[in-house]
Amino acid sequence: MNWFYLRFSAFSDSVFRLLKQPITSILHILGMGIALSIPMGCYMLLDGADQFSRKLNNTSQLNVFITADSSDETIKIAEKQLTELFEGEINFIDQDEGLKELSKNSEFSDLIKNLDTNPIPHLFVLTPQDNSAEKLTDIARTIESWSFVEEVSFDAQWAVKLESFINLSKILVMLVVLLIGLGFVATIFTTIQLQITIRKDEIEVARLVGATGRFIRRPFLYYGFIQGLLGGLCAVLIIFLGLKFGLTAMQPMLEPLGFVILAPNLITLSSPLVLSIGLSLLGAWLSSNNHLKKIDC
Amino acid sequence: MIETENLSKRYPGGHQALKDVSISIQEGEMVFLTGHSGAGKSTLMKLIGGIEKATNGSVTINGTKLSSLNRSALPYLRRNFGFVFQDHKLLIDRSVFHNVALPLLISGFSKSEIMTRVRAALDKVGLLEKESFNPLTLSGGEQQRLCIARAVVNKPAILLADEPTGNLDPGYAADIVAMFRAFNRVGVTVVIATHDPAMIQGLGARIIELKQGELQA
Repeated sequence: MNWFYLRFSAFSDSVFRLLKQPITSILHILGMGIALSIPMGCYMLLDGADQFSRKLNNTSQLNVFITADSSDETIKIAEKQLTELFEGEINFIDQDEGLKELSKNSEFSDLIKNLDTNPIPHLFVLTPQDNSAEKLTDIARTIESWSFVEEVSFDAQWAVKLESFINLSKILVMLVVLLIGLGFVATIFTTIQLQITIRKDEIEVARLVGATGRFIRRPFLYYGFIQGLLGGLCAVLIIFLGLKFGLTAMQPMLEPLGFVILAPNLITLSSPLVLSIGLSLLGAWLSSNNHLKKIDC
Repeated sequence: MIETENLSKRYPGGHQALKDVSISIQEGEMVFLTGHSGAGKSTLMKLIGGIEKATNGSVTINGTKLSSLNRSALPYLRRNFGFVFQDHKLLIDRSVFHNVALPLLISGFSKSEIMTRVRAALDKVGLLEKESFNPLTLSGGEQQRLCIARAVVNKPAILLADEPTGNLDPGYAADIVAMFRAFNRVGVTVVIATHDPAMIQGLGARIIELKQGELQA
């Protein structure tokens, strides 16, 4: 009971000190929430974009064009080599079939009919089962090196670039989170320093009447914890509202592209909260340790 | 109970505040430390209370040498002391009640014990009716009595008072001295530093005189 009362007194004292300066506290907490919600929200959007690019990769195909004058023997060798190299569905479209398809779907059908020779190359369409973009790029490079291959087109190459861009953006966002985290620690460090300066007399008296280091440090750690908790909750609220209302408005535009932002789960939403509390406690602990030593009596 | 041996204190800058002071104060004794301003009375009180560290020599409280204690043990030793300061050192952002409750909260007393003990201490110094007041609204004498209530609420074995009547008129000063006498009668060891001869007269307590940091015979 005494254990609880001691901590409750320190906690309520910290809450009281936050409430004593309501405007400053609200602005501080709001600043923390906004600072944390921007990179965390960006990270969640990038996660959605990442899934989108993976989806594109999964539905991608490799088109292998074989030179038009290739013999049947060459085509058989090509099919054998492709089967050995590639896991997935392989469809062959010979040049006559290709020309028929082209004349059906092209406005130049009359022009095609008058051609003396068929200029369309033979085509192998490769549909991967579960290949990553990187692996498909490697396969495309190998096939390209074969002498009877005219061209390999990889229709998801831009998706690979998008994935690389998303990965790079994620690293940049993580760097921003790291910098904001350092800013967080620095802000709480100075806030606690200010609190210690304001309460210098009280700390001196408490030491004189037998307060331990832990007793004196406790309200400052609670102060940091409460600020971190409220700042984190503010960030969660901003992210939640942003995703809920912002994405509802954008969804009709994104849906045709297959871009779907998943509703944030508990782990995703709690990460800014945990980060905020952790960083605030670190700042409060560093500051109280550093500044309380200077009040020696 | 309190023993100092060849106790010396030199402050940064070279000022020698105390020089080879050896005294012994028995349990339940009442002692006055006297001398002019700058004689070293406050320094000796701070060294006894573990507020400052000696340059040379030692302080022993109930058989424990202060120099042998590590930093984390010092708060527990201080709970044996009650400190009364000339400048009161009251916390002006909390009520009379909460000022007195502070040592009990630190020592881990329950809420109900704190209520009982604080009210008893305030009753002893005549401030029970002013428990919800802010210390700034009290007179100088009342502030000093509040400081005494805070010092005794923990029922300390030793009461250290540094110039407790320094800023008070003779009427209030006599009240304060009477309070110290009453605490001493119930077994508390009382050490009072003062330069006021009127305070010492007629009490029959031992007097230890300091002059320029040295003990006078």
